[in-house]
Amino acid sequence: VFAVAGERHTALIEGGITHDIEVIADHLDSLAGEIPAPRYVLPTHSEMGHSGGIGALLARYPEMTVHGDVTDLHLTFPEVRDRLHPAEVGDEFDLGGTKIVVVESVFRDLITTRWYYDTARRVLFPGDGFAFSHDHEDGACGLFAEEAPEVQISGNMTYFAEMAFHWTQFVDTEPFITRLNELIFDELDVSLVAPSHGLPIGDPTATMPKVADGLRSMSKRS
Amino acid sequence: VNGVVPVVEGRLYALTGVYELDGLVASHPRDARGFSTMNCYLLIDDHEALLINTGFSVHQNLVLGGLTELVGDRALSLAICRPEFCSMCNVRPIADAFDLKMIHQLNPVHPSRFQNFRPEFSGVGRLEGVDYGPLRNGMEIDIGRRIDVLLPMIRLLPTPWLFDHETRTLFTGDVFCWNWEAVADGPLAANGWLLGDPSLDECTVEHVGEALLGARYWWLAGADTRPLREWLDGTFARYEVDFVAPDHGAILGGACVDRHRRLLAEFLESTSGVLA
Repeated sequence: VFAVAGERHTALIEGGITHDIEVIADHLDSLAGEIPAPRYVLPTHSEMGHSGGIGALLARYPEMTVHGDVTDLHLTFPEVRDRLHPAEVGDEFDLGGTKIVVVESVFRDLITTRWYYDTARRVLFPGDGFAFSHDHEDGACGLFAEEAPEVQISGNMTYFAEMAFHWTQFVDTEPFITRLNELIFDELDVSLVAPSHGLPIGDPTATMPKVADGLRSMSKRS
Repeated sequence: VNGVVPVVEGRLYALTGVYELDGLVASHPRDARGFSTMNCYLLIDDHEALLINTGFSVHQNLVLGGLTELVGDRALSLAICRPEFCSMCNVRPIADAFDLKMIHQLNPVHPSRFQNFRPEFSGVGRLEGVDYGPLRNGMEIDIGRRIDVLLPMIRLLPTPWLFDHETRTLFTGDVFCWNWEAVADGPLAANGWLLGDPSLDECTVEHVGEALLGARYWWLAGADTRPLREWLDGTFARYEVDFVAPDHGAILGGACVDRHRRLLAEFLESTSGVLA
């Protein structure tokens, strides 16, 4: 979960996993006075791991509303139905001094997945889209991908393919790589990629080729 | 109207929780309109019962009522086959109301930490001491009869299918979910969401394709579907299937089983890309 702070509002990217909500709330409490109170939660998609904490977050923050991929949430949290709002590509959330823009989810599982972009810091939030992780014994927590060369991005993406991107073995992933590079370098000029799993990418130019290799390794055909 | 539908009297029931197709559900295309169901399946044996999926929160009363009516003093277990809300929402209220023997699930995290997400329930309740175990391809669940677990080649997320050897029912998760109603009180609902008569079945290959490509199987367009077709053929050859029981919409029986298997196979063949 990422907290994006503007001058007037803070937006949370992802709703968190249920059992992490207390930790997330403690972190937010520790930032009180430094950043505005959380106003929006923007889930990338409605899987449990990305939206499971939304009910608890809305109970904790009465002013908070949910925007983005809200599929199934009205059937899950019916008591807060009027606080759930679907968002489309191009929709903006003005935090004061920066905006969160909904952008195309180039690489996804659920078709309704939304990605987000912080216009002031040029940060892309692709949810599961850069799905590489790392072993928690390796000391990589808290580092950027470029600071942890032992994290094998391509290999980890292949593992994730088994979990969330099974479909990639039946398609040619090259068009996805092309479109991803267009979005990141040509259209958004992304300075930092903040995936919901794995390490953030602080140098997209250096690291995207490894991500592309990972996407290729997911596909049997390319 | 929500219902408790006997698929095989005394052995298999569907708890059919109706919901509106309003463009805000993950199960169907955004432009689909009408009504479908979240189907939870209750398998009853002499001393044990197994509930496959627990439905959305809005279906809590249906699910708890059905369990209260049908489980009796049997040991109840759950199979949580999808990492999504439609499968998990009522784990907590069920655990609070029943002495659960086991939760079979995909995630290795204890249910009190992963499936306790409804804010109206405080603490962890009776989930705290619940036993849980995996759902893995090739394993069997024994409830006094054999339930096979198989990981389908055709899937979006890691969502196992199950097969009940006694009722010869194949539980197919988010596949075969393309039969829904245009109106709440249509013919499918009138028949308890059971579809077994091909003369009442107007489904076409085109409709199957639109339902798959417009939602969870968007990636099938141009995909290499040969392995999927081979897996589908092999599975239906391996199992003699009397009922196809999807998570959403009509439960298929009789001649509709083979008809819809063929519709899916035909669509997969029609959409298949050329191997590079």
